[in-house]
Amino acid sequence: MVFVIPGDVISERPEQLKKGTTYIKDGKTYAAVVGTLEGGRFTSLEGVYLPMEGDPLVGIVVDERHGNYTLDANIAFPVLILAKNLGRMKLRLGDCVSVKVARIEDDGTIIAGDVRLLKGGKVIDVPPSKVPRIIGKKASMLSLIKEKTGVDIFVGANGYIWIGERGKVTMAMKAIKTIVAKAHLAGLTDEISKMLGSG
Amino acid sequence: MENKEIELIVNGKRLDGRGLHDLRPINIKVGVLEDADGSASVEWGGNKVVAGVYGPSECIPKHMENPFRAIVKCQYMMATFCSLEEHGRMGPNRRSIEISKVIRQALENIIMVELFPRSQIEVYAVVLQADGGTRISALTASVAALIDAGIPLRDTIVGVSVGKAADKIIVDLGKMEDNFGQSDVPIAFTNRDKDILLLQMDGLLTKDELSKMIDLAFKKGEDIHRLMRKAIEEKYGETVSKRLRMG
Repeated sequence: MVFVIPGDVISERPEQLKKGTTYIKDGKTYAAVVGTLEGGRFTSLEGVYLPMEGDPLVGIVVDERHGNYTLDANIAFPVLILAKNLGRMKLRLGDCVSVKVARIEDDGTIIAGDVRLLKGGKVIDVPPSKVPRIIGKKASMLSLIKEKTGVDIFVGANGYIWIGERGKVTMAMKAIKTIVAKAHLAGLTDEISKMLGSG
Repeated sequence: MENKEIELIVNGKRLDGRGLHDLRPINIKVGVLEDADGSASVEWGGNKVVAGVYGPSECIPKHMENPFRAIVKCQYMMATFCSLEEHGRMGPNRRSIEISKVIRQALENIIMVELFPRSQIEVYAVVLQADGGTRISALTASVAALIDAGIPLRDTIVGVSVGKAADKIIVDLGKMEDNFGQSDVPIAFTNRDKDILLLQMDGLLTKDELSKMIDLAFKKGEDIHRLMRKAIEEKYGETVSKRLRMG
């Protein structure tokens, strides 16, 4: 395993990898963020969220204009819910919602669809680069936490995580906190399983 | 320029015992602040600098936003207690505005700003203690903090100040050499392609001397880059516990 920092060569050929983590110059691929290189496979360890169509997001309604709503999603781009995508649903300022990225405008504005209201609970904030680890392969980690604690959890790709009021909330939050702190280490699922099993 | 009372170089040794081309001890640490998106501290000889990075986030004020790329806001600050002379309040003054600008222009060249239209990236560097070469220390800290924040960069920037004292070319000037030497040239460049992103010159130099200095800076840059890589590696060596912010 090789540790790479921005500017290091990761491949002698141009390779299209996840946007915002690498770039191509003069036919070579370079790292743009910190990561590891294992058998030619680049894994980023840090990164900021870049939206992709279909990503689930969690946001808080912060503004309303002519029936269109703006969300705070803790990212660089504004998230808009258009009135026509809401149907009969009514939102109020401060509501927590989960949405899907329906379209991304040229200037980065995210048009959200598939709006669902998340009632009660609270929102915690984690670095977006740790989200894949919190979800796990085929959502293994997330279902483990849900199963052992009985808590409703909705993870947004933007790093906002909604946690419901049912179940052992404190324990679920502790588990998420541990994953964030140890996201770059192997064998996390076992550790979390042990942690939740004993508690 | 030269002050006769102070001999800056005696028997090939400088005031602090270094050789002509030796760097001061440099200690870089990343992830030192909990609530910034990225942070780093740099101890470079007597210099102590802490840098914090926020963003990319929604650009405020709105009229400054660019529909095609992110804007970079950069603030270099000197603490009131950073040096022998009083530096007054920490607000912007002629000197800090200039240094903020040159650091910003250097950083804009490596940050992939086109990925984040209409947003802003904030970089703050505070000099807690100054001992000559603070703009390079602040730039180094800013770059390390940007890497820590995970903001996509094309390359890393490394820099070093070179200069001339007692008719000799020296590397990494201390405060006395900066104030009483013949010339001071801070240089910063990208590590891989050696594109010069910052070069300022005080005093007089011949063309030949300047090109020698630039070559010397390129050579020393590799040492600094190695230290930066080590600092970032260290962050992942042990478990990082970034506090979870409750929303």
